[in-house]
Amino acid sequence: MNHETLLARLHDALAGQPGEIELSAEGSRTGTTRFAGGRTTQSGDVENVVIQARVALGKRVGAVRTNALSVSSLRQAIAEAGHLAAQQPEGRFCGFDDGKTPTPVATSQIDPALCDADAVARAQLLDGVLEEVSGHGLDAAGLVMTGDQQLAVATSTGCRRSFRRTEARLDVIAALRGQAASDGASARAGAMFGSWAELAARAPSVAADARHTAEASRSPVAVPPGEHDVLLEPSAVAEVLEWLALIGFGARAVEDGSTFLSPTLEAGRVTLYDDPLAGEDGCPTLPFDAEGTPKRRVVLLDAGRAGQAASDRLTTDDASMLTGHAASIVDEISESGAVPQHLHWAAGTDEVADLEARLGKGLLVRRFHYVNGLLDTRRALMTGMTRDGLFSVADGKRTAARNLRWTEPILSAFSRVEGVSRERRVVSSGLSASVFVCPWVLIRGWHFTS
Amino acid sequence: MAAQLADAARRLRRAGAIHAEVRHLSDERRQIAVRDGRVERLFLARSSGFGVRVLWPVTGQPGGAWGFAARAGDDEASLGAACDEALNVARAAASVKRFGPAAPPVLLAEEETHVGSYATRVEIDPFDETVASVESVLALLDAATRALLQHGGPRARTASAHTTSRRQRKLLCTSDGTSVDQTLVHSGGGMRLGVEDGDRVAHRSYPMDLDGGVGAGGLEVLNRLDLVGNAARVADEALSLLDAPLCPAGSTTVILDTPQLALQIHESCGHPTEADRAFGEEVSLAGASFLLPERLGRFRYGSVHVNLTADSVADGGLGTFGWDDEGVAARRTPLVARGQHVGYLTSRETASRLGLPRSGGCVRAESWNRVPIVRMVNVSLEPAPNGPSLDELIADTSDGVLMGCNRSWSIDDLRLNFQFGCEIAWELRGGKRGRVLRNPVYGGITPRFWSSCDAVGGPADYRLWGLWSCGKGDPMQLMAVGHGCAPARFRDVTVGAG
Repeated sequence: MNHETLLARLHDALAGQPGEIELSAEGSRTGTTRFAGGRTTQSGDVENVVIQARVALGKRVGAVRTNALSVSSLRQAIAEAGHLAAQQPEGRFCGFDDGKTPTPVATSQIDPALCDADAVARAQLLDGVLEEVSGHGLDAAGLVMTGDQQLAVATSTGCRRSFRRTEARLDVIAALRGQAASDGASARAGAMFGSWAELAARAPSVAADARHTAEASRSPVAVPPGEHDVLLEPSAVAEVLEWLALIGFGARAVEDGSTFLSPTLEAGRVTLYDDPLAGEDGCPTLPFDAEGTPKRRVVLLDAGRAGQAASDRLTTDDASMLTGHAASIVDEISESGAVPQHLHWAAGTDEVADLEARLGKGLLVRRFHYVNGLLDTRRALMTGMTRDGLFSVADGKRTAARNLRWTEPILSAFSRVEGVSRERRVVSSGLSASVFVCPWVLIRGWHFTS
Repeated sequence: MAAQLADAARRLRRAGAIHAEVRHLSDERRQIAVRDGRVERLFLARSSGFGVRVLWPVTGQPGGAWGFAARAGDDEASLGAACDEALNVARAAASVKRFGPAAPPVLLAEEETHVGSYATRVEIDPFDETVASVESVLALLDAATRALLQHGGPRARTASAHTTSRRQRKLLCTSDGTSVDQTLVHSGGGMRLGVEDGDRVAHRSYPMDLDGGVGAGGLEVLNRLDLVGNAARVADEALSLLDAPLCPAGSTTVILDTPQLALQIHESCGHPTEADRAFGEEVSLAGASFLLPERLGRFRYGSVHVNLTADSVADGGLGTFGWDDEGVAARRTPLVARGQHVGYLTSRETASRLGLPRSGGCVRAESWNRVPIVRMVNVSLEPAPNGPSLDELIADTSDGVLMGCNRSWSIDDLRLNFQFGCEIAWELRGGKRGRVLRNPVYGGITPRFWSSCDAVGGPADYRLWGLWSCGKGDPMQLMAVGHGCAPARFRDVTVGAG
């Protein structure tokens, strides 16, 4: 079912139904092939549609989700949502989208070849990837994924919006056989793609990047804990941004006082913004959220000062404050509230090579692992590990280094940013549907603890 | 429907598959959350569909490659589409070239045929409006938050309470004749108070943060928590944190109370004993394991006090069921015995690779639309038969720190280097619980840490905790797992303040 048919189904289900109603649908067809140890380990093809019916009785909102698509099933969901709404006290709610604001233009990335790419196509692509990595004596692991996503929102107040996009992802981890990953003897390369042709063309270079980095990771040396200057690659930056989004950029965190956003905030000159529309550097786009609210660019951190927090219709009474950040109805990770899902670190002016030269003596970090930002959310104190490529850099020469744990108040670290690259990469989340557009960032005095 | 599934499994076998599993799953979930007098989240979610997994032969070699497909719905057409696509996917997977000795085709450990049904024992059906109405649950949660705010007084900033209930009906038929029908019901909830004084903020949750107290069963699981009855203590502890000193840095004796020890077990015992991680199959996202297959039976994981068991028959656990998603009967499997690494959480495939005669029955999928993978069941630290109570453990500790429930968690991709933060800690002096300590964190290296365990509590303080949302797989799957433990003591642990 394509997005237009999906919207038509929602329209039919709404017809003649009394009251304030919103129907939001997210459909997907996802093909995934995972590989490890020189073979495929899992390969799957999944189709599903989730529809959420919400009914508002004044400021009381009930919601029911179903994956039964018939009009009668949807009307049953509407009736149940009304029943749930009736059982609760008045809350906070600024009404369903009325459709009066035009749907913003977002590059609709639909590639028919990607829609047609099946398990056979993924298998053929993987042959080349495995040849590149495993054929050179390394272990290969990773994933190739193709996705076709359809979104539709219809409300009794006039909203009718739909959107479809296709995307692909390739992740490759190369590891030296017989060496443990936490010795630093592994490397990851990955990218998101808007078309099958682009994926097929770039897959060899992604695999080669992982292989070359892993080969450079042989015999890692121990680096003592302490303060080290770091050049963070985009994948490492993205892990930090994801936690900033979770702990501080949502309206609920502002309301309950757990956020770091405050009028007195000083976080260097760093600018972070959420932009689901522009498609900068190939970032996937999304014109509206799960409530049908049109998306817009929102500056969350403006040259180190607090910007606007992300909101949805349950976190504000004022429709003019809406930012279009209702969480996906299939994203269980984000059910705690509105969070930015297209977070960008503003591009700098530096060339990546210049940043590494300016690093002097320090550490080049390709990726972080298992970052946690709940230690002290007001300071954005986080801890995490390095993973899949840590290099000690001195006099322009890289030496593989063993992985380290770090603990860092991120906002304070932002005041020590000394360089941001012009080039940025799109990084997908491992936890949720979020994507991040991140540069290479040079930071002085990062705290490594063990 | 079981007859349709069995017929489909036989058809897949006749089509050339080595093995086929055909599953139908109906999933219901109800979430209710309130915050500061308002309903923050209230929804009911239903989903159903077919998940089909097929093992297709690899040409010229024994064994095969997996293919999985899932389609929404309950009808014959959806079942047929899932079967057809699973065959296509498996054939394609079998065609991928293999590189190196670490790339054997899939072979399955033997499992006898099972036919039967299993259902969680439920006292109060959370989906029955006559006994668990939304109104009544909202009233309970609202009363809890009001009690927290009242006891918190003027420094109380925000109070929240939540509950979730989930019911899954799973029908599974395999090509070797297994046909099992299970209804699993999980419920629970919790509450949290945030307090503030000037620039200083703190919070306490009960019975633990994030998921709260969760177990197999109905609304009785939430009722047993007695949220309102615990509000005053929770508020007192939260307020005490505002004036408490930071946890001093250094090396000391640490007692982990069970809400924290459950997560310690999860991250440093549960995940590294997953056999697919040990074989490197999850390295692309979640990571691998320091418990490499060649270490089985030869590696000292902890002290002689440490006995860890994978137990899918424990009463009331989130990892309790009749059969796993491969149709393997629930059982108990030792993972660590007297400190020695002796077992893994296994599937039929990984059991075969390890040379084990049978799977440990640890395969589950989040729902119908996810591929079954190795998951924790109830991975628990066995209590010492005549072990001390928490109070006795404290009385036996001259100097140290008692860590309360978890606030932050982080561990490396091999599950070695960890750091946990807790909501609260207490100084231990002369065998007594002393002042409250703020922002406590502790860290270590897994086998060194467990080797420093010199006491495990007895059955009296043993508790089986549940976690809803163990993340693994790509696409990510969230799984309900259990961890039982009594408080335990560890020597020479690095502690500090976050």
